[in-house]
Amino acid sequence: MKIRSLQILFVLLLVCPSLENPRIALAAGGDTPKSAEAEIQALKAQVAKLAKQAQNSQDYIAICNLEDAYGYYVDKAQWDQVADLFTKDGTLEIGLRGVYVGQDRVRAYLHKLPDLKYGSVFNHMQLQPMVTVDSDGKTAKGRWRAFIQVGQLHTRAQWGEATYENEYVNQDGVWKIKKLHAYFTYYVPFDKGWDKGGDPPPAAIPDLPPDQPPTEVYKLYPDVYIPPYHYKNPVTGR
Amino acid sequence: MRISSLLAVVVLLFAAVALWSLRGAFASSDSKPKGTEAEIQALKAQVADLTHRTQYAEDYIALSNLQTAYGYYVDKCMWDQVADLFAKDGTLEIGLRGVWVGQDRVRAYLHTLPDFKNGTLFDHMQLQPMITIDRDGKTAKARWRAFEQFGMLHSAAEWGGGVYENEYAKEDGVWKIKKLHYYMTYYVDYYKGWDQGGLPVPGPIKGLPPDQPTTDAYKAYPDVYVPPYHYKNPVTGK
Repeated sequence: MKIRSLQILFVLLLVCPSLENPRIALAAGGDTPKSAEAEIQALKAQVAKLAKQAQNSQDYIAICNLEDAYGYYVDKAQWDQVADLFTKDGTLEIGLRGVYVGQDRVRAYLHKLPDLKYGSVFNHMQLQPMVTVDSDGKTAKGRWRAFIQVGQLHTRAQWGEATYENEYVNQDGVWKIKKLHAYFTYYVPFDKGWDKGGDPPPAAIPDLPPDQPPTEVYKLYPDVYIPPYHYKNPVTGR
Repeated sequence: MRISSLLAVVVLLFAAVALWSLRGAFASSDSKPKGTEAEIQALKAQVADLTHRTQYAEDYIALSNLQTAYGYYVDKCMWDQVADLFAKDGTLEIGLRGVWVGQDRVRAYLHTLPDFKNGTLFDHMQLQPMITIDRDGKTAKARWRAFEQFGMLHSAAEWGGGVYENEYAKEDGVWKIKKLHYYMTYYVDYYKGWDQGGLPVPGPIKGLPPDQPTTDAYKAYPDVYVPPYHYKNPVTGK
């Protein structure tokens, strides 16, 4: 009798804690129990990953807007606004004019370009972004193209096309142009089209020599040149 | 003797279980107060929703980059790089040339197009994306347009414009072109512009018959045609 009641008490005591705690009951069912702490840690890791992914998308948008804004200022010859899009150590290389190093030099170069006045067209459409944000979210690269219409009343009308390979950097949460490199594909007179050769690229600026020579020497249409891609084939990775 | 030893064991067990239960009670009141479970569930639901939305934005960017990369390779006649952007069962249909089925056939077709050599201009600007990602995030569709400047030194200068209705599939985390269909709106001689009729849409290629006939028969400018939209009006849904 005594032994039997003791046995019952013994069994009850063994069962009791698992009844009290449903997670132990779950554990007995083969499911790995997760403490609240573990679940919160898992959620934190997911949120951190999401924050990074969301930031990457936001960065893509900010960089697209930055390049678009560049184009709209260039159209209207707002050279100080253009220069302000560059980092202090930013560089600019247009065609075969050489490299201007640092925001002050970029600004000086830009002010050598035409003013916006009656009779001028200086459209530089910024098109076809292929933007790659680096995994640290601090730097990015973009391939773009410009479709260009330049005109001076009674003087000249030209089509032009260029490929950009640009670099950007995020400084204190703001994306800036670190390096802008425009490779011209062609410049042609409006009345001659693109089957009769083309115009030469914009000439060097005699009274403002660049800080560095052109990084690549190439010819415009009718010659052909492939500006190097900053990215691999997005499907094959090659 | 036996009973007393059993009793001793039971008492010890009781004490151990009691202590353990108390510890468990303290621990659970520490790390999992009432409502914690509900909060964790709510956070999980939010994280799942954010994961979906973040992925959507990432997919949009990847799809946009895929199509712009396509254009940059086409410009330079890099036909193998272009073919590599297609899924193994991908299809390609340009103008009225018929449908090429499968990556190998797409590649064969592409290699009938011009090589990139001096005197060649083959610009195909990829513009104006209207991208729709399907709910499951595995497939997508997009309408794009190309604005073309085609030139062969001393023989041809043309403008071209057209609309793409493309489909994409995500395979092992990588977006690929599943179907590319380009409807040409016009091809015109550079010197004639678009008020004197236009050039015919490119038809079948001698020596490489397509796998399927053209899906929609239409004529380019001066005829008019509305390529079907893959989407409804985004405002009215009609």
